[in-house]
Amino acid sequence: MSILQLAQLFGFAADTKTVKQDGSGAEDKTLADLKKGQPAQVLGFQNAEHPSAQRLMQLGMIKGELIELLRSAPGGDPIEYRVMGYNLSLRRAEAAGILVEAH
Amino acid sequence: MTPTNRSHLIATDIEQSPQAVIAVIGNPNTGKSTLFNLLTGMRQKVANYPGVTVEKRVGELKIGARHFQLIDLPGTYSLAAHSPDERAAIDVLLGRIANMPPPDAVLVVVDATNIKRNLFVATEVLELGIPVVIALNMVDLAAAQNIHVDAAALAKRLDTTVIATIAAASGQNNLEPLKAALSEAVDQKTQKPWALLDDIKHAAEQLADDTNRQFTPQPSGDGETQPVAAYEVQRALIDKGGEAEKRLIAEFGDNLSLRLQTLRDQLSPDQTLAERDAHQRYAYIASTLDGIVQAPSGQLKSSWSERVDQFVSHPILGSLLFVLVMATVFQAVFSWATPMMDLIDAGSSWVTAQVYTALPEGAIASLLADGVVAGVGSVIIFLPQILILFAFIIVLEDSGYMARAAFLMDRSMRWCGLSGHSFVPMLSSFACAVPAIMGTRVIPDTRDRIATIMAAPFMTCSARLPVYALLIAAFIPQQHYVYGLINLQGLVLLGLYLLGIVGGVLTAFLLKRTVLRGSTPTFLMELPPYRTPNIKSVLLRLVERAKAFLIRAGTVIFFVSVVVWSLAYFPRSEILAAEFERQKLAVESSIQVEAEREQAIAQLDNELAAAQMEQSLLGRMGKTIAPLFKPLGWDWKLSAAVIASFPAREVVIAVLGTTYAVGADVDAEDASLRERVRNAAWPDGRKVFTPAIAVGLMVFYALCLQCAATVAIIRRETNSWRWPAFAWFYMTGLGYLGAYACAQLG
Repeated sequence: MSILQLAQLFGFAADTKTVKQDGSGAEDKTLADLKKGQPAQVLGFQNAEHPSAQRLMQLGMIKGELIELLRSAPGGDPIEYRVMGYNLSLRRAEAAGILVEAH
Repeated sequence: MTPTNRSHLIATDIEQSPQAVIAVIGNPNTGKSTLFNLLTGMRQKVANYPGVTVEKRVGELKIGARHFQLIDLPGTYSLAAHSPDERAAIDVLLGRIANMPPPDAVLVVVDATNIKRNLFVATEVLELGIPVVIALNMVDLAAAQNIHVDAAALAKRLDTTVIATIAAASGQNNLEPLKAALSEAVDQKTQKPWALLDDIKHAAEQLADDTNRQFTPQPSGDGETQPVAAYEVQRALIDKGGEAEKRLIAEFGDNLSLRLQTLRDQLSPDQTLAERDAHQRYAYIASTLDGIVQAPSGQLKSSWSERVDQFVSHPILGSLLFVLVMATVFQAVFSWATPMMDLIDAGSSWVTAQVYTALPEGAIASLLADGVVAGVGSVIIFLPQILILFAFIIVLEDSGYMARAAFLMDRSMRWCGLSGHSFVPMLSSFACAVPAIMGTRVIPDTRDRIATIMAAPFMTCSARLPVYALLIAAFIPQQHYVYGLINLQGLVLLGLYLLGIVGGVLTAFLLKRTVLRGSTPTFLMELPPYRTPNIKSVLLRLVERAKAFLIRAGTVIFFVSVVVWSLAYFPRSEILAAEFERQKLAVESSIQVEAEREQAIAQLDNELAAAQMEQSLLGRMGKTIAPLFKPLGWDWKLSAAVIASFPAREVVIAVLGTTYAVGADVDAEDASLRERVRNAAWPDGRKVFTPAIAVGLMVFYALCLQCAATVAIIRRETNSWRWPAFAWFYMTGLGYLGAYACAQLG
């Protein structure tokens, strides 16, 4: 069972089929797929109505914002990111609900 | 605002004089609480908001001849509320808390090193129409990172007062400009109308008006009528599924829910309203800061804090450091506290002895010595552990390390349904559950906090050790295995520790899957930059913790101690006393050797105490309740001792000492008590304590909640009697079943 499926099971992530593809060629990923030090830009949320998504937007996780993976805890989860000038830790399942464009 | 025009918001009985109220709000880790502590000093009161576990901290601020009431709101990134706990801030700001008028001014503490995110909540507060003062805090730390904010220009653009303050840790605070600004803001009465998203604000106002016209406000529980505030409707619109929406729907029905959704679709057709709100707010902040903030470009990767984190948050090195830090904390709480606790113990014994020499023997001397002094002693004996553990917790929290610990430990706690935040409180409960439960305040999620509080008392605390020590020494044979490396007594002790861990973890696991099940396990946590804690603020919080414990837990423990004393003391039998007096006289005349005579008299005294105990209320209760404990193999003496040990497990030793007539001043290492307990027999000559019964008794004490301090502190921290009652019956029930299983299997 993939992490995304697990996230869907917990109601965090919406069905992946609803994700829009703009065909720009840039690779659409989720935050959980980022590699260390790889900068990315926030595109949006799988489920923007989820309370966590609302909270994350208030924390600065809005479309166009730059984000970078700093490190992960033992076992690869949770993961620490740098966004809007501060460090934020997210569980992998939560990160999988955030769509990004990796550079 | 004058008292008249807000009178509809104040409950009928106003306790305080109409003192101006200033609310303090800001993001977590902005130095908000430190600033609050520096402004109010010792003039603070801590209580809980009604119905939730959030601390309500109120202090007094003196500016010249004027006195203001300062309310420290919980740290928050936004006024959005998705849990009852998060509602506290908005409830205070809208004047919805009983006996608390709405604030006359709001102090928003903003961290200059991270001004963009910090201004988010500031712009929300500005929309409330209450005068606002922004404290641009930590400008010195910002300057050290080459971040410079033009406070005057910011004030002009936001159309409010902005005062630069420096990080409290630097110790050279000049708070006069801030105080003057606050004083001025209170006099200002209203903030100029300020709205970032005009259409949302207007829609909310209209809906609030409609609702208020349609429904005559009903008197709520506390007898006041509250019209719907426009801002609450605005929050309900933005925070879909949040607290504001839930409450409005509960009050006005599903019709309102439909109207809210229709409005949301109109106001924001192609993205959620929360998304639009966040976007526009951050866009506004970016344009406001444009040209008045100079910051080094890029992501500041080489900052000092960032370099430290390469080591501290490293999966391997960081974990090693964490083990080291925890070992130090554990060691400190466990052993540094011991000399102080021994001192308190010795002190209370000394006072007891003084009472007995000063007063004639009788009920009053016994009440003072064994009831009052022992009761007070059993309360303050917890202070060393509380103070030491909290000194560590506060410093670890204020320095930013606690967030790293939660980050590293999150995965290991997750399988039982908890998060990394629960690790440190859980570990501390191996020393004592009381400070550990008080320490669960570091856990942001209420459900996690309650699950941790329910699991913590299972861990083997220092009060269980004397009980284990006595029973293991008496009943578990000294057997060694594997060339003497493994000792059976040690194995039993290890087993009892493991039993506690398994009990606690399973309890958390079950609770998180049943009554405490949450919608989504979230772990959004800021890892704040490392900072030096402010000594004064740390000390103030230490004093506050100690006070909270002494007042809330202390009164309960004291009361229970006196009740148990009365049960054990009354009624006194004069006939028994006279009978033993006669025997004593006989001994005095018959035994010539002084040492022997004294020993015989002491023995008679102990036997008198045992006889008195047997016919005391406690003894009778023990006999009455003994049938209930019969399946566990306990006689009435043991049953009475278990009842008497309700206030504290370790008391069982003293009570066993009295009932088995070896005197109450025994300790776990006492050979005569060990001997007596080993030889105790039923009337038909069978031994009371078989190894199975002894193990059963230890299992009982491992699982039961015989600790008034823990019960009282659960009451305080969960703000209801429901959880402590559940914990007591659940744990004591488990203890009973465990002891029963041991008795039957043995």
